[in-house]
Amino acid sequence: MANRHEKRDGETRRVLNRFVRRERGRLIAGLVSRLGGNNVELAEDVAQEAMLKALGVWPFEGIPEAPGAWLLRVARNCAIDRLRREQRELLYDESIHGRWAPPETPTDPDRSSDPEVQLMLLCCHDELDQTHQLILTLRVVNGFTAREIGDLFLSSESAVAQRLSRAKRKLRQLGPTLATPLTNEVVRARLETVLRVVYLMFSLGYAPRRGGELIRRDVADEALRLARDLANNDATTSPAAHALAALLCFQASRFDARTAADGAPVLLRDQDPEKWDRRLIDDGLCFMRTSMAGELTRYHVEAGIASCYAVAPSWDKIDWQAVLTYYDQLLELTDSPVVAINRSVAEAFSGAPGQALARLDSLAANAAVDRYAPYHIARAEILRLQRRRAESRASYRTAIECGTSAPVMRHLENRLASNL
Amino acid sequence: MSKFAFLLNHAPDRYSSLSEDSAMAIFKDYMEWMQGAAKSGVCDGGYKLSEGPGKIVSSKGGGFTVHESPFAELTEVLGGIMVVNAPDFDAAIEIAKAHPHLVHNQSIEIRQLDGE
Repeated sequence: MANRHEKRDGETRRVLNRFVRRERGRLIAGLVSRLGGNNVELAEDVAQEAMLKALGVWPFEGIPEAPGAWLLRVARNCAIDRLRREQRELLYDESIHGRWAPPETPTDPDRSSDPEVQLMLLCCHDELDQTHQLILTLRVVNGFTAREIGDLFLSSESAVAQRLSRAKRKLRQLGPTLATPLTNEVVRARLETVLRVVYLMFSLGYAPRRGGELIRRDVADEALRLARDLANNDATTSPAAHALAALLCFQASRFDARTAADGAPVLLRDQDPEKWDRRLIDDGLCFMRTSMAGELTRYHVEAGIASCYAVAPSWDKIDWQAVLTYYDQLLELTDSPVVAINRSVAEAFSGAPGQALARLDSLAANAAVDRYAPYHIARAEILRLQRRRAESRASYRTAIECGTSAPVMRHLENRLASNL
Repeated sequence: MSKFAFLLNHAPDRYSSLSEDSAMAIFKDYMEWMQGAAKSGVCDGGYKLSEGPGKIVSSKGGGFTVHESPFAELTEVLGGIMVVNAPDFDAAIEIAKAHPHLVHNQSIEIRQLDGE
């Protein structure tokens, strides 16, 4: 029995991590809804204490039937202890005794009653910039540590900790305005920001910029969970939220097929559709149908592209014309060179590699594009389609010089080795 | 099938100076083990003891004295008890070898439960 050297990230561990994250998120949301949005730090501290206690006790006594209630009880006692110790009698009276009862008007039709959605909206407060919103959500709602967030942003643990405390200080300064749940009007106004933050979170998990893993599955899974919550919540449900949830379902459905056993990426063309998660694809199609009611957003269009791949029975059955039409819409909405790069790859696959290459080359005037590895990878792939081997190899080499995540680097090296 | 008590000892200050991250990581190892062991019927659960000193009650000349246990001065304190099902002592030892307690602490004392 040599399982003491067992790998840390086995399936049980992943389920456990997800369970802990889920319970912690719910717990903090429940605490913030009782203590007020200006007491996020207190809520986090006592939630952490409760989680530690739980993980110390549960291995012996088993997971209680209602872990959430167990945690909330422990956290509440911690909060009372702490406030007493600090002799903050005034706050003690007001915050704990006054506000401990479940949030006052859970059935108020003007206020969202889901504490987790409220917490998400709080972390995406307009007074914070986007990076702060994102790392605060990752920390408070999803329970990632400063070190984990640092890995994600290629920055140090202490730098992230500093930014987190700055963000929380700002929330604290906003004080009493955060003490009551947001009205649906505020929720609507903030929804676009929240969706953007969830989208960015998924992107960070889906394609880590550098480092050892191809997919930070835990981060992407959390983003998908938030997207589903937003789509299903009465206050935040909207065509855009449904479109985002659809997009993330489609992308997540390919996780298992996207990574080879050795960690290297598997391109869409070479993926085994048997490995796609059909349940997630069905969820995605369902969200996509319900997203059709309103204004077209980039999430709609991106979900459209992803759906073309998801419903094609095989690579040669993909409806490239539909893909290109979606890309044209996306270009119109975003005017982004990254979109233009992806569009030209689709164009090449649709049977017009020459045209695709010309379009791609016209982007290189932008210096940032010229330093962007995916641009050179796209170029290399298209040249490879055209059997222009020497030029293709040169582009792979340039891509490697630009730098990307370790598994993609390995993939590029393999391409170079096999492309002779 | 017999029942064995795993007495999980640790140094008194083992968990007091750990960062929350490291403590969480360790506790997750225990949780992971427990979930597997509960599913397979190896472990019946047990009891976790609170950190910090307890009280010692002694009888003396018809009366009682109560004093605090010398928790901090001990080299090892009992952290918790788990009840494990195994056909015999050797099998119980093998189960103990795979327990994360031996990764994060030094030893597990195994005692057979009488009459089980």
